[in-house]
Amino acid sequence: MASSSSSSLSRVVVKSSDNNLFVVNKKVASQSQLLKQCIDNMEEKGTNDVILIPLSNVTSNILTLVLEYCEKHADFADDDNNNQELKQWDHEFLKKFDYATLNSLTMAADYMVTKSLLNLCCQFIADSIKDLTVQQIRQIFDIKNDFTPQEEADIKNENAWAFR
Amino acid sequence: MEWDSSSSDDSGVDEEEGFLLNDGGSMPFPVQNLLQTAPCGFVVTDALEADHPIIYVNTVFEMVSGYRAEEVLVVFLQCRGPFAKRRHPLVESAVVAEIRRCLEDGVEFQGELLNFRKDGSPLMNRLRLVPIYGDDETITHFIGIQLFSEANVDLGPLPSFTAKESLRSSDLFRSSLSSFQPFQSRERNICYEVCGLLRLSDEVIALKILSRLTPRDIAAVGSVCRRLYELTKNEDLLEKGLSECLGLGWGRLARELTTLEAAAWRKVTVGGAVEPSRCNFSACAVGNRVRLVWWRGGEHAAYE
Repeated sequence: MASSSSSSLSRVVVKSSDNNLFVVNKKVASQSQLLKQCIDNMEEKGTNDVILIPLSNVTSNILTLVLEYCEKHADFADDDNNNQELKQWDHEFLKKFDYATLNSLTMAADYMVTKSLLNLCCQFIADSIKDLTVQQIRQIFDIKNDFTPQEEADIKNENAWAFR
Repeated sequence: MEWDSSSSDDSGVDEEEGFLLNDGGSMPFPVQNLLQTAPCGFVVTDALEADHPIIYVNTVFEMVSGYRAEEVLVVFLQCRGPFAKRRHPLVESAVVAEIRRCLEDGVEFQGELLNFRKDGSPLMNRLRLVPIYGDDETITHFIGIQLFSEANVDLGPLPSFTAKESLRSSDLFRSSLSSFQPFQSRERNICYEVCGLLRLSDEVIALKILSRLTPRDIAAVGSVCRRLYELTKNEDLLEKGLSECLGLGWGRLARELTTLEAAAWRKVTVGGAVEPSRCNFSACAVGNRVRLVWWRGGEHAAYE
């Protein structure tokens, strides 16, 4: 198996928190800094075995999405010219999800240190908050208003500049 | 491999008792005395690695934190304990940001930071980080000297951060607890030295999201509930917001500053002045810095 120069892994196995295994090719895995460092570390140590990377924070359905993203971006990793197409894909990709999924995805992207995905998610969520009223935000994100009437009045006063 | 079993209890309120129950068997003397005489914990990290892995901890650190050296060296950096997975909101992000900055710039850091024992109970850590130089003037190590004291903080129930995260954070927390043990015991020799000294938490994510909003939208988010209100008052956010404005160009900054007018000025300073409820040195720093930053921003914008 020790075919190529010294030791280089071609694929890794990633385990989700609910114990599902995903075989990921190295180029795709490298989109996540967390996985990439694992691979680099193992290569440094000269391991030829397939390595198993357990991700205790990511469930398999979310991991599937992260890997889908990584796969797409790994395809485009070499050429920057297709940026537009990739952006379009990114947008379509996120548009499909509800907020719960989007949040989990954001957390997973953070945990796996997939910066571009994290930024993408944050931007997407930020964009969807844009120009909403307070009431709408509460509704969409299912937040309970825990201010006392007095506090609420104060804050309304404080933020009056924003809602003129 | 039973060392993690106690952490499935997430109450962590009664520090002393929880601590003794947790590791009482291996404790040569009561922790109470230890804290009174306040010996220092020592931690050494390898600064040549990007993620500053911990390579040494002394016994004081072991006893006070409840983590044994091998746990720290092998696993701590990746997992940092089930309670450390997410930064608690009481851990001031300003301090953490300052530590990060000091590590990056290679300068000494001194300050107080809220830490958590292995059993999740709070611990005030008066931390001093000192860079150690090698022969060629590069920083090879950082030494962390820690004076621990009991933290008199009410952790309250597990906080839900912003709504966006709160939908899932409790689930995530649970899942991280339940998967913690097999995670270490079975796959012990698979890279653990991955994550950095200071992992992002979902509060940081929330701020990341907020920093992409316009001041008007931040105000709207801040009016939604208490937790979000506090979050929008975060000093990092104002800074980050400002720097992102700068990144986006002076034009936008100028426009925003002019549209905010005097009301916004008052708002910002009030935001800082209210802070003393958090009562320590960084509070005043908050007020000053925020005002300063904005002032600086205003000046620049005026040049535009």
